[in-house]
Amino acid sequence: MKFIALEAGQYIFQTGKSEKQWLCQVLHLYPLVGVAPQRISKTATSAEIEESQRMLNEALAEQRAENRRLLETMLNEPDRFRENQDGYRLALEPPQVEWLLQILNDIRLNCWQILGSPGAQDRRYVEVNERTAPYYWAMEMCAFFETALLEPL
Amino acid sequence: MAETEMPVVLPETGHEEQTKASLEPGYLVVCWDDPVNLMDYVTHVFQVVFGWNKGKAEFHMLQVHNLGKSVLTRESLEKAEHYVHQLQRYSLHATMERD
Repeated sequence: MKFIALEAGQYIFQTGKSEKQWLCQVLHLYPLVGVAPQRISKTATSAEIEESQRMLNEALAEQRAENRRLLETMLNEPDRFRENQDGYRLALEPPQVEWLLQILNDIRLNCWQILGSPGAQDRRYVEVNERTAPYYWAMEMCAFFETALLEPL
Repeated sequence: MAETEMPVVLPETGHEEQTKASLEPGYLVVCWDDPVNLMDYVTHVFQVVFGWNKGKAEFHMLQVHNLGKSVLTRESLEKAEHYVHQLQRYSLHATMERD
């Protein structure tokens, strides 16, 4: 996938036919939640931040539900991907680029956590096998599409 | 004509203390390193959430990458919560810590 132009306030990307298929495939994983919710503080006592933590958990859950709804809509729009001789032309409004980035990174982060956070502080190595390969694949796909989306920003 | 007695309003000290605490800039918003978020992505998120230019956003991104964390801003409880929410919406490892 490659950024090709900014036209009438929309970012235009060109995808190959396989790329479009893989983008849709990886997006269908969302929301992929396999880990504990994020903490709002490392040092504050639970009493201090209980309300803040509850609000954060609610906000992230609402955001995931809203993103899932927007994603379903986008993937089902007949004109979102317009076929051409090189594959497909994908047009995105600036806010759509933002939430697509959020979604892809959420999938990438959750895959990494499901894998056991390889490469984190303990330098743990997680081998590629039948169980882990789909998560490694999704992580790399997300990175590829994130990089393409970031190019014009 | 009877004088109207003014109601006695007692100070709500607990509420005041809570409000004062929530307005004082005593919380640090910290972003922590992880090996999964892309460097360009982190830079972009800092630009969007804080409205920083690319140079400042890259400076903090590199601090996260090289030093393991970066203090992004010092805020009141409410504002710190807001920024942590925004950063976590983008799946960054961000927390707020008492200064």
